[in-house]
Amino acid sequence: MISSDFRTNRAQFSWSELSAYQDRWVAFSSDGRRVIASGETLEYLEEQLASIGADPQRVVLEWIAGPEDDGAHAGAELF
Amino acid sequence: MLLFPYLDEPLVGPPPPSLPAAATVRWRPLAPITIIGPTGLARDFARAVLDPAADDTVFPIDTAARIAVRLRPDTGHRIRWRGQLHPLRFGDVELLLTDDLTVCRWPAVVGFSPAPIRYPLLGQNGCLEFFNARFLGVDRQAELAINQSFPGTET
Repeated sequence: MISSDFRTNRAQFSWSELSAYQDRWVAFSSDGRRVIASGETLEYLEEQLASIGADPQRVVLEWIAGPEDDGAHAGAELF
Repeated sequence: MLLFPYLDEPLVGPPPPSLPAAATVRWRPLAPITIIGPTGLARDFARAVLDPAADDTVFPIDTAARIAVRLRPDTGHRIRWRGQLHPLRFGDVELLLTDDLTVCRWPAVVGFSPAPIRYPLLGQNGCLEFFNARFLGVDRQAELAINQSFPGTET
């Protein structure tokens, strides 16, 4: 479950700090203080977590938007 | 009642005419979601989109295997994402939403797709059908209150 610490600390990251992860999935630590791993796909990210011995149930996953994501249409693009 | 302040996403390049000229971010109704498989394995996503126009609740297909979801037989349903059709399989999970004050957890049938969706979609089936939702534009906040069809627990 995502904690209040995560929300608080994740919000402290600026987008410029996260720009290195554009167009990638990242795994934040459960307290939101740091990025533990990243990958172009969730599958690759999980492999990265496994390779460093991180518990994937103790991280929080997020896609970091890149240029291709500028503008979301969500349901309008579905079905 | 669950309250989710809209979250910002960076604008890439100049803002469109629909936004103020000085805008550097978009504000979206995004909420953190936990998806829990039948054995208790779980994954936390920081940002899922509350989307009343999405028919189903959809997660990346990789998540299904990671939390040991047994997918139901293929029903032939598909999801169109950025012009392309992708398979959509369904499975039984539990979902958990919390805003730190309230925790809502309920069983749901959700979709899983290899479509490169950037956020899990919290659509009608499996999620928003169980809530009365308000999107407060000026406050940039979404409110979710469970309704009489909510099948889970609120603590």
